[in-house]
Amino acid sequence: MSLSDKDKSLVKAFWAKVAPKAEIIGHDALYRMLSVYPQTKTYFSHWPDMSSGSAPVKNHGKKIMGGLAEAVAKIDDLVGGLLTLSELHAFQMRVDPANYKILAHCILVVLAVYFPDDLTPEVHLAFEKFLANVALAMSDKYR
Amino acid sequence: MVEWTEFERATIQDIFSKMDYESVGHNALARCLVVYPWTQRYFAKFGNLYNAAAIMGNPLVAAHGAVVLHGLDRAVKNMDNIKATYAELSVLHSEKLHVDPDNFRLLADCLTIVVASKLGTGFTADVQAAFQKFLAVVASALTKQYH
Repeated sequence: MSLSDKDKSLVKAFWAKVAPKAEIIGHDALYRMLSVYPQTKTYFSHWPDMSSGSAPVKNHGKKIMGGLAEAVAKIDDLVGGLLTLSELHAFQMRVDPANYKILAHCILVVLAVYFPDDLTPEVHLAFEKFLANVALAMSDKYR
Repeated sequence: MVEWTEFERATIQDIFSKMDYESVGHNALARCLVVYPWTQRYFAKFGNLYNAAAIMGNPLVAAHGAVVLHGLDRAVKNMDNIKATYAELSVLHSEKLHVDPDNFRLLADCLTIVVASKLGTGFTADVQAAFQKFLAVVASALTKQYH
């Protein structure tokens, strides 16, 4: 389900609105994922603290949003643009690709919480497609 | 038998007691038809579903959204017996409506987004977990009679 020009412009416009709150969104989405889908904690067993507001969750949330910002900038070629990140997730971290869907859902919930009027059905559609394409790009090098 | 904590029971009752069923039902169903367009296959008789504006403004979609939410109410009022409560509805969705059960998950996700947008920061991670667990139990009960 590839991104149309309309999808891309909706994503870019929406991202411009949400970017100022990126750190809050990243932390909230990541904490939600760990808490609502506890099986995802298995990837972070090396963290001393996974509670809401903790440093590891905040820092990693920030990293994830940074990755998404990069994806928005490289929206015309996600597979090429996210190559290094894909190799990292494939060969080193070996994150089961099913988890990208889970994180994407949590990101969308947080966006609904903070930007209820901006996440119209059309923006929701475009952004969800975008996250699905990011997930595909991230899984590209797996096998 | 599904085990519910006191927090989960209270959360579900709280969310639904404050909910505008008509508005939430309308928004959730319309969002589902927009975000997952293949779900439109079940609504061929609803007329104009050509674009997001048409779907959002379609009175049949609004009316049906309310029907779905009032149907959910049965589970809210019978949390300890959701499977039996939905036996007939499960047969209906399988035998008569021929709905692919994966659609229950898609609609549930849209409902979660709509409720999150209404509750804002009140839709905490714990509330989200309870709400999603409830919807998953409902979806499972609706799938139970498929064969």
